[in-house]
Amino acid sequence: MPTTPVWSAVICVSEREINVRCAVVIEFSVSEVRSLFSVPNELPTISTTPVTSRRLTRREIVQSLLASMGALVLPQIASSHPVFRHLSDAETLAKADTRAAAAKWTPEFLDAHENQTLVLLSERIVPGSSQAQVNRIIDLLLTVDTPGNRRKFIDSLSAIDAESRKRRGLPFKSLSPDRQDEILTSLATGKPSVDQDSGRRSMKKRLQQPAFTPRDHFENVKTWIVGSYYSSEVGMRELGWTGDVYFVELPTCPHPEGHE
Amino acid sequence: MLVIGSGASGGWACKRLAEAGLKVALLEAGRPQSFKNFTEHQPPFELKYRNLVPEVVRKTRPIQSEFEICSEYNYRWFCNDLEEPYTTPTDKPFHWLGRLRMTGGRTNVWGRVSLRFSEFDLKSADFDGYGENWPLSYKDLEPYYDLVENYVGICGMAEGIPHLPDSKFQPAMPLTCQELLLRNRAKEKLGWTVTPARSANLTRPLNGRGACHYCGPCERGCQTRSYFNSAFTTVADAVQSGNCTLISNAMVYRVLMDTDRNRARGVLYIDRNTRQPHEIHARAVVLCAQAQESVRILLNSASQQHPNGLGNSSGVLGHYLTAHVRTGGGSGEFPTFDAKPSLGGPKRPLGFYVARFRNTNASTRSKNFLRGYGFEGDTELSFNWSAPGFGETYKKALRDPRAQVSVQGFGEVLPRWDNFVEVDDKVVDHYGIPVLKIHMSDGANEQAMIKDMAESADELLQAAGAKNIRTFANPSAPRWAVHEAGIARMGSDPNKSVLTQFQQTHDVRNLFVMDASGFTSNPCQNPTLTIMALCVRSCDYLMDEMKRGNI
Repeated sequence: MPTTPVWSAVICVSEREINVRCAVVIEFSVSEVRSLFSVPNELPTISTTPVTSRRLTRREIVQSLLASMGALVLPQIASSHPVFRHLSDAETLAKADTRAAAAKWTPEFLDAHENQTLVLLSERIVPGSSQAQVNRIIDLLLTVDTPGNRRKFIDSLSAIDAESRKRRGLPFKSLSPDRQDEILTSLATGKPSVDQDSGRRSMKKRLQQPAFTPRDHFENVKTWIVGSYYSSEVGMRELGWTGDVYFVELPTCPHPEGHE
Repeated sequence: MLVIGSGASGGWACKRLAEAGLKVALLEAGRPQSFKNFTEHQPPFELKYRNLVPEVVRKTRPIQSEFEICSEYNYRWFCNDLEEPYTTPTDKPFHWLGRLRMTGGRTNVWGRVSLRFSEFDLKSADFDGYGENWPLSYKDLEPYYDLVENYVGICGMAEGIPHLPDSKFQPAMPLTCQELLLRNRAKEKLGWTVTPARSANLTRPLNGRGACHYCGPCERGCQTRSYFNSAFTTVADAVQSGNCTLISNAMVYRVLMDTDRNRARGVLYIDRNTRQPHEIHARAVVLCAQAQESVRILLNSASQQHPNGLGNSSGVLGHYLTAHVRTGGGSGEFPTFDAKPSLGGPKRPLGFYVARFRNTNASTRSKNFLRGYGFEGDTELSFNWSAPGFGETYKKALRDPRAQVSVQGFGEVLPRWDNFVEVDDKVVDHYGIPVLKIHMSDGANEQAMIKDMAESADELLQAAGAKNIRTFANPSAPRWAVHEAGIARMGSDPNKSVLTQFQQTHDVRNLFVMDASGFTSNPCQNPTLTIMALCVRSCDYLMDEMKRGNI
């Protein structure tokens, strides 16, 4: 059997315009591993139109190699192997991404005042949001969302400023953190237009769009911030995400005595 | 041999025929599938919009995105609704979902619940007098269920229920504490069976496929091939046999006929990329394109000899459309039993199933409706996302875990003449092919059944001591309906049916329809396992007939 060249990979994530270099040497050939575990190289592909072959990036090759290794025989070993860790270290990549993008970022949808307000507001509502750059993802999402949702978001930011001006005579961003919390407390304890807890509304009421109360505006902004923070890497890690995707078994019930 | 469609049935048809030595061309309307397209391990922050803005998907998939598994991760696998429209009467909205355009078809994203039909289901007309019996019996299907299950790999637990026969199971996935409680109380107080979902997910390696690694989102693909997707199982086998050629991007327009001999001689298809028409010829044509798509091809094949559509001498082609109703159910809160929610750790791909308990015998007969339904359910151990307040207080309150068990009915729809599809002459898709007009609405039986789903969900959750129970019973329109069936029904009488018990058209001997189109009725069990078993049986018949020189 002809031997394919032994593969040495230097992982250079150049496609992300950064220069994270992690030297990893894989000491077996791709085809050896594949034949060992009988992993097909590809799903059957087809005949009519010739497939233009795109060269795989090194990262893709190593990742798919590792994935199939872990997949078929050694899930726990593969996912804890330092190579795997390194390659799946999305945090490193994300940080590098951020660094690359940081210098020239300007909001596309929000204006400067709205953006500054959002940065401060998100940090008060979910601490850690400025580090996770929640304002940037929200700005991006708003560029593609429906006109209705965009409008609501802007209205809600304005409503928070309005409350702030009413109580303290200044826009939200000009207040101290304590004063900001005071405004938020007042909003968060107001009355919602719909009683979310009971969920009981007549069909007629459901069809009507109730006018937003200050509390609704707070909840609207909070939902955006919570969703954006906890879908960021830092937020997900806070809630237990590790990046591990291969598990040997599911937990079983630890209560032989029953559940009375 | 020509096989149209590479989903559950098409995959099996080409595997069965190619491995027996026949030369098969497999025409698939979509693109080739590849492990590179699989994103089950990708966290949301690696997506451009983190799967947070439905509008991203809705722009090109306004209908497909109504199906919750169609997301920013995988929406490109689904048909572009703007390119492939269909119509409905204005008062009968209908969501035609799960229209995949990849090798593997719907098996790429299916729910994987795999349940056998029983003799009781196939002969339901004998029990309640409604509709028609199937022209075959459970004994005919049983060996094919065995065959299919031994290859597909179904995990589950044997329960010995007469109207829900056990499969050849791999070990079941465990129930949660909440579900164990539910199972015991339901059995004790109501006599109902709560069992781990019977699903096409491996819990043991099989044929070179790995056991489930519990990463969670099967509908985004699987690096270890642990769920059943025909792209990396049946179709891969067929291609590997050397006898099957997969032709991608081939939108089949119509069946071509040899009018002198009344035989199908091939099909006309449009290449999606070039928009060029092509003809391809074969000794037999097997449609496995999904019920509406297969029937659309037959209706679009109308000719002088077959003026109402091919295979339609009976006039029933396109009629008796059925799909499950699932808009009734409920949820309730349970104790957490010290479990802690986490975004990490293993995730079970599927929950539990409650076997049908209405109209299963004389003592469980309902006064309000015929037939029955099962519940699919799951336990959600989640963070308290709706915790009040903000700041560190909110972050802390968020971690207060919630355990919620929810159940949702999957109910049988009675086959009715006035639920039907026809060709809409005024509208064509981007490939120039006339589209379907779909007429579907709930009848009184469905309405009563949906109402009962909410009531029995309440009963079930109460029996288990759930708190804050909420139930729902909504009309099914515009429907979540991906179990469409029955529009080219099987029957022994050629005047009342389109297909024989071997899914061969009564009118043209070498033309078969091996997807769910042939279902004479559509029992509440999820249809895919039966689609596959029927298909293999019909392929064996087709090959026998060829040997006898009849095809």
